[in-house]
Amino acid sequence: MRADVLTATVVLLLASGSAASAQTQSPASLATLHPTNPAVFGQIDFGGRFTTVTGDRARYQRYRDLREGVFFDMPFYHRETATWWMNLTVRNAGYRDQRYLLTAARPGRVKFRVLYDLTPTFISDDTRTPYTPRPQDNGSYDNFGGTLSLPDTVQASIEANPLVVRQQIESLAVGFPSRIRRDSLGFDLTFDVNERWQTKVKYLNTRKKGTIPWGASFGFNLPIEIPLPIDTRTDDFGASLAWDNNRGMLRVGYDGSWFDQGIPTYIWDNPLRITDRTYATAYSPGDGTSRGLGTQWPSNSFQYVNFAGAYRLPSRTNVNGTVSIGQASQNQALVPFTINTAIAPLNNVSSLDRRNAETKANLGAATLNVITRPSRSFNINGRYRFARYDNNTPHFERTEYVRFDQVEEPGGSPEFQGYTRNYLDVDAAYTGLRYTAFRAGYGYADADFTQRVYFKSNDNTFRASVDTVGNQYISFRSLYEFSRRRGAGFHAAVLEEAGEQPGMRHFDVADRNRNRVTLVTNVMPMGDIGMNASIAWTKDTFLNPEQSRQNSFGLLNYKSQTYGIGIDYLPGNVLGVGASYNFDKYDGLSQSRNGSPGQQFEDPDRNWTTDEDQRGHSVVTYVELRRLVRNTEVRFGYDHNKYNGTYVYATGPAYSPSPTAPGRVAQLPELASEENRLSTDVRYFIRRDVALGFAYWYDHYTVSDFALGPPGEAFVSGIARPAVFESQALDSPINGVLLNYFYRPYTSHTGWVRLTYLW
Amino acid sequence: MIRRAFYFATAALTYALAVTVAVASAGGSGPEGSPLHDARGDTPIVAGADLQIRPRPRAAAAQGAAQAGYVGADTCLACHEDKKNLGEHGRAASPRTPMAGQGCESCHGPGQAHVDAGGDTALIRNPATLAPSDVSAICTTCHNRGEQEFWQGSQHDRRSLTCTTCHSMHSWNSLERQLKASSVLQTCGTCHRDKVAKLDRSSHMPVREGKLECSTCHNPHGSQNVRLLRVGNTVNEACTNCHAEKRGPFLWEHAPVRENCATCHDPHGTANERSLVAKLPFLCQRCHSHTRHPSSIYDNTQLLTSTRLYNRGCVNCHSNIHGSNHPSGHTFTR
Repeated sequence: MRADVLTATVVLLLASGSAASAQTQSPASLATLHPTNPAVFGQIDFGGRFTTVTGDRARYQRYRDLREGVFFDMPFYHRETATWWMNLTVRNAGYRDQRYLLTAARPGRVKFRVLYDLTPTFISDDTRTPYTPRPQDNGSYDNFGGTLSLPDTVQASIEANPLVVRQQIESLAVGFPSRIRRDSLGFDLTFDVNERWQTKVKYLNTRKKGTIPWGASFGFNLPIEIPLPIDTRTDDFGASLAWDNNRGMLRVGYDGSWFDQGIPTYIWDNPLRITDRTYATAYSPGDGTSRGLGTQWPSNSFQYVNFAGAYRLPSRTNVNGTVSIGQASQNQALVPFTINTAIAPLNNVSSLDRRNAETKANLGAATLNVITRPSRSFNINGRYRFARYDNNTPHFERTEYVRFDQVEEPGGSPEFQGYTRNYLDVDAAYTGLRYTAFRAGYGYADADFTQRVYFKSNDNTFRASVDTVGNQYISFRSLYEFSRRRGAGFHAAVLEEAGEQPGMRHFDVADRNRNRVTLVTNVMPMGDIGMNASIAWTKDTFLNPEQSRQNSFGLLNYKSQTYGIGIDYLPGNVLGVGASYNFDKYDGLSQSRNGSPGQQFEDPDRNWTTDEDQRGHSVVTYVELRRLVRNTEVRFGYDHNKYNGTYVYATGPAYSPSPTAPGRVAQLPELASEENRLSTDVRYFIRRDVALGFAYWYDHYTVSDFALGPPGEAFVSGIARPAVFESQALDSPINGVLLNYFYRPYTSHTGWVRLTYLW
Repeated sequence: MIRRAFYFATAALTYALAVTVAVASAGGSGPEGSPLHDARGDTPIVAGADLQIRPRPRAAAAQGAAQAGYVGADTCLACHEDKKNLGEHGRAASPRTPMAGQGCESCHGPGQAHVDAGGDTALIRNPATLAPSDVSAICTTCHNRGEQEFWQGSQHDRRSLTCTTCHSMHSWNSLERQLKASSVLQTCGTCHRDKVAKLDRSSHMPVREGKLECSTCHNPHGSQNVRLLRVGNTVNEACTNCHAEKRGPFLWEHAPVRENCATCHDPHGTANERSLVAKLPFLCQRCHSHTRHPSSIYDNTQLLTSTRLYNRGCVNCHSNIHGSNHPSGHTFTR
């Protein structure tokens, strides 16, 4: 990268600016660079940041740390000699989203990168819990110990009188921040042995610590959330060796990944119970056991050996492909069925078929591409893919289990999931017209499953496209696709085991007809104006040939529509203006039946449907003024995002959902959220290489969500409404021991005062 | 730990052995000694000619001095100084760069006829006038491994995109990768605006925060996976590359989790919690209508009080929905 290149291209930075959001990690830096020394150039920003947030501070920050204080950024630093070059990036040094990336290379010989990145996920600053121990101010447990406890006296008093649960829990609830920090440290090294041989090595260590809200229910009673401790580590290692010449290449590689779970199990107290007991009923009222035993995602490993090759055959024909062979395994120690002392002998690991999971799967995948262009006006592309997940975990014998740590019940053995998939795609294109290509293609996919409603499915796809590219005034891409998926070997036992309606078809494997259209066009009528428009439209119709319409359940149809339009106006190198608008809409209709076993199960009058409608609007606008005012660069950005969602119920003709209001169905409130973001960034250059500046972000978010919104007047920190038992009325004292993690609105102001130094 | 150490040691030894073999054999595999290069040393020049096989710069350099028609970069720059390549392509220290070979003519073809005709543009190869596949053929002469090894036949190749659709060889705007736009997001957003819009939803990947970019998950140059996903052979393998905790195999598996993460999640972003494609419990109800466990509407008084509707919906209880290792976990409540 040299000075004249950068200087010459500053104006082009503005192109397609409307694809970028108003608020990015920091203002674009390349536009600011005016290096005089091509061997050393870069940018440093430092100064102070000020943030005020009213409302949900965690959701505003989410993956970034915008706390008040001094900040230091080095968006880019480049240095080179005749034989080496290096780039260094430092972002938000010292904060919870800091990032350091060093890339250095000796061209033609070696290139390496070292990365340290800290990515936070701020979940909520308003979370509260009655359990101990509690996460510290950094969101993590100092010493978890394996058990989340409540005072015995509290459990005993609630057991004696469930109506005191609210006051007891409320008196214990203490605030803590719920968040995760993800530390990544890694490197990759590319070494060119010579012009032909190249080897790569990479390693990445990822550590996650923190807490997340976690459902820890004891059955048909209070929903309970706990601050689940997260403490995991993943090590990824890869190495490859490649050889190539001007006809082809060969590569062999190895990839291994090991995930370590630091907290494989956890125990938490039941607020409703101090002594253990069991029930004979199949349902779990939730006040049987004094404690629950949960498991987290187990430690596992995943490894692949890969082979890849490509070869150029005569007559404009290319072949490339891969073969991958691997294994996934997991052998975490198993826990007993329960720790309820009243349920012996299932509360001991000796009742298990084996002590460790011993799950494993052999993995296989292959890809073969053949591309031939027998003439300048005709080409054919063919692609075959194969993927297999052969789960060969040994049989785990199980005849009974314990539901919610309370109810002993008969239960079968696990059936391990696996699949084999084959794909074939062939496309033929006519490119005889200048700028334009006409294509027609056919795709075939088949899949063999275990434990799905169909043993097999196959998908036939026909497509046609017209692409016009290369013309300086217009480019146009269009695609139409029709696919027809059909299952074979209906597997009724899968539904029976789950107590499911025999007419249920899972939409990811169900018979389906799909129509899909995409259009993208860019128009450049003049050199300084660019316009674009796009449409994506997909309609899925799910079929159930074995059942009548009234006995067909699951997703029946689904449609997605996306429309976008944008314009950029770039008159000269001092002004850039752009705006884009995008609308997307998703509609789905699913059908179910509200009937218990027996006569209800067969009664079509108990059918009900959910009509889903989700709509999103996005507006992105920007104005850039580059040196329009002397020595001053200004950028304004404004984004608007709006979402609305409805889920409308309808019932069968004679179905009365309420005995007190026959035939009447209460509809759920509309879901809505809206976000408005404004950004301003101004730099005034005191000298060529020193600028004073300020940036300001305004962000306003509103949300209305019947399930995750704060429950209004009934909202109590650490506890959410409604009643203890779901059959109780809304004004009953409590119906959940939740963490107080909800969707909340916020309004934020963040400002930077900074000094920029350029090399 | 012992198993891990064994895997590491095995991998390290295998790797070391492979490198040793490569280094040992490197001496005899140079371009000059390659019969393939000897067989196809000379190549046509102008648009419309066969661009499939092209000599590597060093090979061309070795032969090119004796080849008729090449004038050298200095001659080109006499008229086209503004096109002087100051990026990676201009670093002659690397034997794979154009400047290490025939300079400008490594890509534009021999320029003698063009010079002799006083700059006749019909006598020099100009990628701006070539068919997309011909442009790609020039670039993939060298960029035929690593990131670009599966360009041929990739989705973008099939749709008539070519290298210069996104990259500029002489005047780029990004800090890295020589992109025409200033960032990866803006490059991809030129066509995939619907995906950019999703990144602005309340639940999204940390792209706008600068932690990820499109190319973190996708390789726009082609891949062995679907959807141009960079790693793995399936959607799930790409997702669990970061979300390793969810890859199992579990004692109890949830079929759509094993099949495809995108059945329930839109990785680009949605307005639903956890980037789910629909709100809970309605997403679950697309596949579940358990009769003994009514997940549907009740009546007017219970609609908003049902533990299966408010807060996390079904996941209030079925929290281990990605799979469970608990012997009592077949419904993912433990």
